[in-house]
Amino acid sequence: MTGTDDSGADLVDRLAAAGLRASVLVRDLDTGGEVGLDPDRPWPLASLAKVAQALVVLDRVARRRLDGAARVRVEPGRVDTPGPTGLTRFRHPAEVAVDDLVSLSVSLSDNAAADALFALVPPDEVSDALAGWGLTGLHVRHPFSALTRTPVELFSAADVDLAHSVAIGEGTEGGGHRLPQLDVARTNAGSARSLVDLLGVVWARGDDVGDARRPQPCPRPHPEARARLRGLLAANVHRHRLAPDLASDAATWSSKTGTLLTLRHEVGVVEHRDGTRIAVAVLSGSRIAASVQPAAEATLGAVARRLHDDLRDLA
Amino acid sequence: MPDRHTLTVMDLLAGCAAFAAVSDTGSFTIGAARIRIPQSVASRRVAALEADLGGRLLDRTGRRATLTPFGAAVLPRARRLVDDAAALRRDAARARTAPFRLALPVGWPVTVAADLALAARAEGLVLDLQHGDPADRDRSSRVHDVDAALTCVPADQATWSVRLGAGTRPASPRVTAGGAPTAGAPDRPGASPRPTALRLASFRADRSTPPAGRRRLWLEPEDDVPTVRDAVLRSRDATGLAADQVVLAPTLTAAVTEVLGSDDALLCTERQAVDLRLRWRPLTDLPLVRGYALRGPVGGDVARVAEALAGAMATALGAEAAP
Repeated sequence: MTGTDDSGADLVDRLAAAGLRASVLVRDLDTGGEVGLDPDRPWPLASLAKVAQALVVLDRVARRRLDGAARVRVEPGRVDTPGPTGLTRFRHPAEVAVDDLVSLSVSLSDNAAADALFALVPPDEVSDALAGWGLTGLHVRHPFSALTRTPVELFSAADVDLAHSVAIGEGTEGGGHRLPQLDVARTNAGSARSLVDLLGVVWARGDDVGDARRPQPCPRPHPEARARLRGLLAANVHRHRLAPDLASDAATWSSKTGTLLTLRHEVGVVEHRDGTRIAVAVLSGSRIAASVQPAAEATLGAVARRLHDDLRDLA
Repeated sequence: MPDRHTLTVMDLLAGCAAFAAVSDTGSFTIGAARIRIPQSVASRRVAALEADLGGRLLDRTGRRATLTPFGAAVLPRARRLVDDAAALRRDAARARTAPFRLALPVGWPVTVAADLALAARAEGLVLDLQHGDPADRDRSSRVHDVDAALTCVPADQATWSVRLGAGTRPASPRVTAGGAPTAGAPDRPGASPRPTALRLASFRADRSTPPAGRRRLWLEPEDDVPTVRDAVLRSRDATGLAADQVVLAPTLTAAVTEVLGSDDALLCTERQAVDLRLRWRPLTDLPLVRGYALRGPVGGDVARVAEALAGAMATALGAEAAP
């Protein structure tokens, strides 16, 4: 726990009771105040990497280095396991504009759309651009098609618990894993703090340098790119994890989820009617061998809400 | 001695006994009396032994029966045969009455254990009953601490299988407006009938229920074995229960205490529920059994004991009849 009382221990217990280990960071984007649990642990990002990728692609579109209206032919993903969305499930090739690929990638978490964007901006260029904006904690290394080549796809639907047992049991010290998609040294990776930093960049007001704790002012992504990304995150269709506990008519919740095997992540920003803007990053892993875990989802929502409320009460 | 007859081992032993008794006492009459047989029988047995061995053992011409040189030569071994036969009988008698050390689960009511021991006695078995958790029983049966243990095994290897279900606090009598409880709490007409089965899936809390309000299923140490515990945990995960909704209790008493004080349930057999005065219902989405078999050290006569106890053990466990 950083920045507040010792209530972190009971949150850790509550997460453990739901079979979870989690990193959480909640930051007031205007005051810089924050509370968190284990916020610097690196995690496999799963679909959260799409936020970083989208920011880089949208920045190039805004700077006219890429044509947002250019049509891209996308081969159908033909994946039929539950979870993947959009073009990843298509049966036939489609032509989609670059802008709309970003929309599918961020709002629907469409792997095929995101990989079509990687053909235009490869993973290492994404990492380089992020580093140029001071976001050195995010590592983008490979396309998203790897996320649909896990034991879940190899085993029959009846053995989904076995696929999850493999994912739970094969982790090693220091974030290593037998499955490359879960190994922080090989997959797209980042910490709760690095994701909140990314959200801070996206939600930065105007072209100010913003974060006082970063001594070297960095160049920022184009304001149009940041505004568009905020809009796409607000349109996120996956609202079962943190949204029930954070969104209301008085608070909008713009976010991106990441779900892969044992991983349940969500990062986003709550914008309150009074102007308070709070970034929330929740990265979690489960030791329970099940695909659908309603108690885990509810617990993540509850923990995020508690830390969010703690932070607002501190102000 | 023209004709030699070969005696059976039993007759050989009887002849040796008569021979030794007569030679000890120097008299067919007194020797026969000492081994409690008629004198004529003693005479016949000694004659039969002489025919088998091929020579006169006793000289009957004098006033006393005296050993011939041939008789003197074979007497020591004949006497040892007789002594060994007596020792064999003593060993057998001791072995028959030695208690058979049997390890049983913890927490059986005294009357149930006593009924089992009584039924065993009718089969000529004296039981020395010990109690232990599944792991203790398994270990003690392998290291000869006991002669056999009632061991937890998968259902397809079980001699006795007992269905598991949920034991819950019995419905408390309804309190009427006047405050007096109505005995028996009869269902009102039109009220939905009380369910006769439970689903583990129904333990799943909705999102608005705080963690403290989640219903839990308690497992006693007897069910902390892979065949039961792992199946329960898989079912817990597959039906979307929270991890802490299935709890392994340190003791049966601890589990019952929790169940009596809440809406929680105890995984138990119908027989246990009756003893614990809990309401028992099968879990329709978790058809589990406790499987038991008698296991003992290699070389013991566990199979015979298992057969002798088949019916009594089934009764004690509340099991379906042994196959």
